[in-house]
Amino acid sequence: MNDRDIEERVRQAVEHSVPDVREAILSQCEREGRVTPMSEMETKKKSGWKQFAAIAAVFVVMLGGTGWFLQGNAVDSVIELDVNPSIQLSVNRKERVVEVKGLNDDALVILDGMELEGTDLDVAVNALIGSMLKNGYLSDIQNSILISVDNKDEAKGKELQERLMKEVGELLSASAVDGAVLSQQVNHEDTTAEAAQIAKEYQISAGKAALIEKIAKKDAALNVGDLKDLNIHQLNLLLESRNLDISSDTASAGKASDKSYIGADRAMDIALRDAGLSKSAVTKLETEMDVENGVMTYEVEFKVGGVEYDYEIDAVSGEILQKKKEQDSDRETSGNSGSAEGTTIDKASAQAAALKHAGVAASEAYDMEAKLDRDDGRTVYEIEFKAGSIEYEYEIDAVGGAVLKSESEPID
Amino acid sequence: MLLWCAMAEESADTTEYQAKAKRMAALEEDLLRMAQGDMAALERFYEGTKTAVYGFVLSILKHAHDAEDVMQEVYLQIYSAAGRYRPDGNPMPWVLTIAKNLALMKLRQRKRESQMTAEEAEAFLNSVAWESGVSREDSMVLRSLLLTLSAEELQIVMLHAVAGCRHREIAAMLELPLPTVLSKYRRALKKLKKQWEEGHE
Repeated sequence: MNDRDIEERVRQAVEHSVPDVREAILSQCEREGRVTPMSEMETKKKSGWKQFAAIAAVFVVMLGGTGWFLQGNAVDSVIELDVNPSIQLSVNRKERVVEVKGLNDDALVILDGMELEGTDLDVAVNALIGSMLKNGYLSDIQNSILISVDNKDEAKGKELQERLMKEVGELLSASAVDGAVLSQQVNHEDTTAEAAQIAKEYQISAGKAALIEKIAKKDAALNVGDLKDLNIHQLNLLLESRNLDISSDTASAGKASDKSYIGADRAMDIALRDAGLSKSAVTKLETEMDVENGVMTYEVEFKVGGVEYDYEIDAVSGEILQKKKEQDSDRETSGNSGSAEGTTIDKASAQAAALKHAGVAASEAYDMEAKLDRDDGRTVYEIEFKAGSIEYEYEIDAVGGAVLKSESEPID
Repeated sequence: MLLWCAMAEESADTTEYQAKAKRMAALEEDLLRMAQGDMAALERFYEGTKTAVYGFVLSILKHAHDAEDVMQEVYLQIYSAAGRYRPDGNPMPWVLTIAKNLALMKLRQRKRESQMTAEEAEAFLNSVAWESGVSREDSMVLRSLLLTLSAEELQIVMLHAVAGCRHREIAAMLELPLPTVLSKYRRALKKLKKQWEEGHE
């Protein structure tokens, strides 16, 4: 069976099982037509946001036709709302919306059918938050939002930032969501700033770029390339989990929910179970969230005797993505000075030591590479090989043949 | 083959490529007509895209009835948003993004974990599944898809094999790095191959 066969089989099965909803769709579309987009589909509870949305819709209708907004639409403040949908609102001095821009695909879903130009800023914000709740971008499991304000007058910008933060928090709690709201000031005109470069390169909002830049600056283990693909909620989780303090220029209210993830405790259990160790047997047990190849993970670290363990665990599935075992560097040095002149082993013995440690027969291993290297002032063999679908990496002490470091991860 | 997303590169076969481009142009045309309230266009659009939409929605929800509900919502939304579609020669990423968002919303509403245990999934499938006119063979294929693959693998397989999206497009849609999409796809096909070859001896 080749790939084509498999794909064809999947396709056939799906094609044959598509439910026939044509009539239902046609009759509903005919009945509802293209009405106010906010009130489609959901007709059950009239929750908080829906009332805001209804008010917003009324305003849109009332103001839309009058054309008053043609007057005085010089931009005074630019506000960006980032969740994953990324929306930019430009308002005039009276805080009427002059222009709305959706900055990514998700924003188009949110802005679908809304005509916000000409409405008051707070009405527009109400409608946008309502739509984000309705479309599932904001919920009790994904509750973070970033508000970025750009106004030349810093005091005025600050006042607006605080007001919006409070307003958005209230809108979320009205829909029974404990929001985690971040807010900051940005400057769109400073195109030389690092954040502006990031925004341009990755096509993201200036606000999100500024947040990413702050995080990457605080934590050397996180880089912009990894962070750019995360949504605000994931960024907020990293901020909290890694205790990164950016409060000097970013306000934060509420706590990012980790309900859609397995949680730090569960991640810890998975790692300990894999290592065959109990919590009481280990020291320096630490867990924090991380991002690996765009996937949110829990990084679990602990020590036993002279060995350091380091696990990367998929934050959603709990799958172990990577594990490392390493001799504690303190011990390494003391051990080294103690047994200065052992027997130097050859490459074949080093390979054999690595295979033995991995429990892999020499006949099963492939892509074997071994080279002599210097690491922390000692001579080591760096050995790499694959067996089955696992890739192994070892450091073997060239003097004495001890396993100094072992790593294994799935090849895929 | 219903290769919608795919428009370029793998166009060794020029006729196939042209056929695709033509189909996309027709879908786009229908979207524009839908914006004017043309119901016949909606009907054509539905027929031309339903397999891709259903496969993708199902891969997120792993639940036949929920997928059917969401499918209706998807077309309602497409119909009402048709006026906002910006023609670029390929409406499928737009359509699938709408499908994704509505499916995720449903998932959150139901608070059902996308990763069910094998037993839970089995129970689901047995209780509700594919009773309505789906052949035994097809329902077995679907069952093994849902039980064998992880949520992401399933979505990637549906988007590539059923909706015809390129891996690069899938990466953008699922917000995953391209190498991750590629390796997950390889792994998923390997799993299915193993499962099906063993199951058929």
